[in-house]
Amino acid sequence: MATPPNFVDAEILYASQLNKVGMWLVSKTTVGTAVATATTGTVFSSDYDNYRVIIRGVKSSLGGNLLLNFGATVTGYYGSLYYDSYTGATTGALRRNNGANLQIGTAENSSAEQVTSMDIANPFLAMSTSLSGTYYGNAFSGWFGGTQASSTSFTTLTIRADGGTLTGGSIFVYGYRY
Amino acid sequence: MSNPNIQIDDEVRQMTDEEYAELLASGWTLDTSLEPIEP
Repeated sequence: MATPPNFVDAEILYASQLNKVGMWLVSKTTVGTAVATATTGTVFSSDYDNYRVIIRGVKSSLGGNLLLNFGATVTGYYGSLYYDSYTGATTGALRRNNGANLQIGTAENSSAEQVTSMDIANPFLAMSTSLSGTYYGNAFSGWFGGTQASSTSFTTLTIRADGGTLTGGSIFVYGYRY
Repeated sequence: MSNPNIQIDDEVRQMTDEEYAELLASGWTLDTSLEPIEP
């Protein structure tokens, strides 16, 4: 067998080698047109403890912050986001202290493409769910991190801007095998 | 004015009045005259 990820059609795939693949695509959600919120299907399960989520190409009618919720939970979020404009004119931090969501970057309202990438730990387990990531969009880049402090087990995530509607772009969810 | 749309997985539909009320309670606004918000 060829060394992954170089596979050959109709080749026998051995479990001992496939089990070394560290990350699998769980879901790709294409954001619709003019939606106030976009929720994935069931993406978190007992299959994986940790996940990589990439959100890219999401346009917003207003721009502004991109926000995340787990499941239907709208309380108990703690975290912060650092932002810095490439012009150097604006930099600072935003924080959540028992907030209604977590800030995970910016929603683009120009021709450029935003991207947010984050790791999420233990969303499906009955324990707190923490995440950390980085982003670029609307001329701002930065990092963010936070936690949903309840012991709720989550199966979905929802994104929205803090104002206006979202159009286009994708939410990729990958599971870390180990 | 009609309620905005909500997307769940691949389905897009109009929000129910209850869903829209919850969204507005979170501070969200559809006001398109709003200037882009600094992060």
